[in-house]
Amino acid sequence: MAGQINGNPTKTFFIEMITRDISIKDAILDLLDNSIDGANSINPDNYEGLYIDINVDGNSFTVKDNCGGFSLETAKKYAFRFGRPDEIVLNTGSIGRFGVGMKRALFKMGMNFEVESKTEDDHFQIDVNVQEWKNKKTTIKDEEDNELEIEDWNFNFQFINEGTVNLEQSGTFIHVENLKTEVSNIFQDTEFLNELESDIERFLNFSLEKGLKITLNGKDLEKRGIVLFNEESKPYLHEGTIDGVNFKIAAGLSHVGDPKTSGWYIYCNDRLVLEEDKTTATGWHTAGIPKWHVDYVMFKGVVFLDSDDTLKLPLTTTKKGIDTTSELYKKVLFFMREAMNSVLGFLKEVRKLGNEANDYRKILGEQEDKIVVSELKTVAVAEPRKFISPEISIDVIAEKKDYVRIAYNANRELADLAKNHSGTSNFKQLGEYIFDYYLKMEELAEDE
Amino acid sequence: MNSPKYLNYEVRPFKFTERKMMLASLQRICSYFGSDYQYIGLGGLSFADFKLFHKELHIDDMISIEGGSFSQEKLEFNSPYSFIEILKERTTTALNRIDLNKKTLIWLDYDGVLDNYFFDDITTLFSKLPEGSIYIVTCNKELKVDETRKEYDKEKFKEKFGSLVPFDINNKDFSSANNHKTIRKMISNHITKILKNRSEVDIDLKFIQLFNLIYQEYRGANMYTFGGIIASKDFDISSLSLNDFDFLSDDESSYKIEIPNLTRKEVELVNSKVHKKEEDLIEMNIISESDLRKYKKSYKYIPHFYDVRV
Repeated sequence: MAGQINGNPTKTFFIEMITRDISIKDAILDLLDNSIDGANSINPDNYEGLYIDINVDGNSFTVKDNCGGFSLETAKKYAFRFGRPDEIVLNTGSIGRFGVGMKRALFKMGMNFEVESKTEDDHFQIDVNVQEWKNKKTTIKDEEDNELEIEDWNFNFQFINEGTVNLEQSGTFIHVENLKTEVSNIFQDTEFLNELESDIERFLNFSLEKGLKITLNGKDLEKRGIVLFNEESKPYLHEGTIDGVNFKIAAGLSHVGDPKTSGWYIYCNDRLVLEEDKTTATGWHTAGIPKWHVDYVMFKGVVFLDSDDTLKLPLTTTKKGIDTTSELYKKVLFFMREAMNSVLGFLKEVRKLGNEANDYRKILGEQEDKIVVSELKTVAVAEPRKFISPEISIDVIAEKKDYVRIAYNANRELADLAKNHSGTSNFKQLGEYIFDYYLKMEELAEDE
Repeated sequence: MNSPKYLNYEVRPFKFTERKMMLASLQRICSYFGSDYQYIGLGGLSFADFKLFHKELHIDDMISIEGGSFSQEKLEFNSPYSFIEILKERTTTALNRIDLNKKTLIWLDYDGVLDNYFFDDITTLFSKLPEGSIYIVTCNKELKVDETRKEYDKEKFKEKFGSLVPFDINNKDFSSANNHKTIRKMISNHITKILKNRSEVDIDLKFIQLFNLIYQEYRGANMYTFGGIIASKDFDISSLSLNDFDFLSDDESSYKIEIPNLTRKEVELVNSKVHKKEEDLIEMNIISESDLRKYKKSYKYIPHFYDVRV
């Protein structure tokens, strides 16, 4: 006897799988990525006038934006479908690539959610009661015309009616209620809110710099990005296209500041995916590049990878970190190493200043003009693949190298005697006097 | 880079001989690749290599890097030609200012022992230099810690050079008999690595080793010179017709520059017998076999110094 075994995953199992490996913060950032994709399709260079308001408390989670919304077509084919159909037409410069982001975030947080979207042509909303959706079944007929009951994965949408409207402008409104207990607890924790604030400020810094206004529980979030010195010192810049991905690399010097913030930053379609990296993933301690060391605290580098085809970007599914095995990334790494080699070469020289190195580093920070991340992305590359270091006074270093310190202990009584006899006023002077005396008596000194 | 303060390079006969050997082979290479090279060197105050390469190789695009404590004025004053650009900087930062997309002859005559910046410089150079470029490096052959002048051991060496250290390094690799082999291995491995990484984004080039020279100046330091050409993957070295230069080496075996200690009259005698009547010469018991051997290795290149009133 032969039969068919149902290989479909159950919805419960599926939800469990996709929500397990993502943190709440990352799930929220995923949602925000959709808003930014929207902003990007309005005007990729300037987000002035666009906003995202986020509100979280113990009972609910809400995100509202005016970033263009998504069409019913997109909702049907993509936003509410699990996995991304192969034939999907890609949004230029989008970051959402796996087609799970929004659903994953919503399922992660609560048991009831509402997604409303308004575009120029559509205005609709989707209400989901997760428990009901999980239990939803539908019947189909097999080849022998027997009725079979299977799980129904569909979501229902309604066109908007005046009573439930949340959007006046084109945008997206997402509201989650009936939060899971652990999510509700986290949302009431101020430490979590601080971390979320910091994550959004750092990871979406690029969008903030383009003028997007993001608020979290009413508080305006500030751009918190990296800057490079750009005056006497010129950052290493290089750009090009490899395998359908546009890349741009900028690396140079930045403030001493918090050592943690030194390292590489990688943006994929303007979304920060790797930050403060000091590991072999970004070339440290490979191919002759040293390990990160506090002497290199001024080093900062930024990589921009942009592609209309998000699948070509070396992203990992969680959008945190880089797929270092990607052939594309290995090629970009060549230029990253070249940049590091030049910048670290200069910082090794600074190290030789010894005690004065720190002052020198600070002076550099005060005298140099700065260039922010979004400008680095658009700035023209005048001289590719060249890091110009600030002038460093070799004379100061050379002088340091020409002098050594001689020290020894002597019997106090005898030392006092010698000091009085030589007419010097302290032991430091006495030491110098004795050295000169020796050179003179042994006829070792050159004529001055 | 500080050496000119202590020594006049021009009266160092081994250095001189090495330079003349370089020149002889570079003339052939330049006649193949064309003479439109830029020369980058560490001219110091004597600019000996600059003078030679300008006159003999007709290079007039020249840059001297000098990281020592001489004033810019002093360096400019001693420069023999106004077209020599002087960068008063360390090599690692200076090389960033130079257009390395030009065909380049570079001789980094470092006066110190092996250090990390050698490799930084290699990364900078081999990431950009085009086909036909020539890279030469000279350094003190000892593998000693710069400050203490003590020979490295395995752990200290790994601490200093990290992933650049050959996998199978052994304490005997730091000895006089082997230290230049270790230096060669590290430099050549690093070059290969950089060129391989470069091939994935740029052109596929190979490095052909030509120079693997050791010498010791009278009562002076043991020196090591390594170098070669950057060429396309399919380049055939035989097209350079370098076979008759026995001081070139494409493998681990180094060539030792040796100069016999002979008087003026003895030199004339050897000249009259060399190659055809050598047996007679030895029988005369004036010239030792060892001196004859050394003479034959170097006589085409050794300098002759005369005391002249100027």
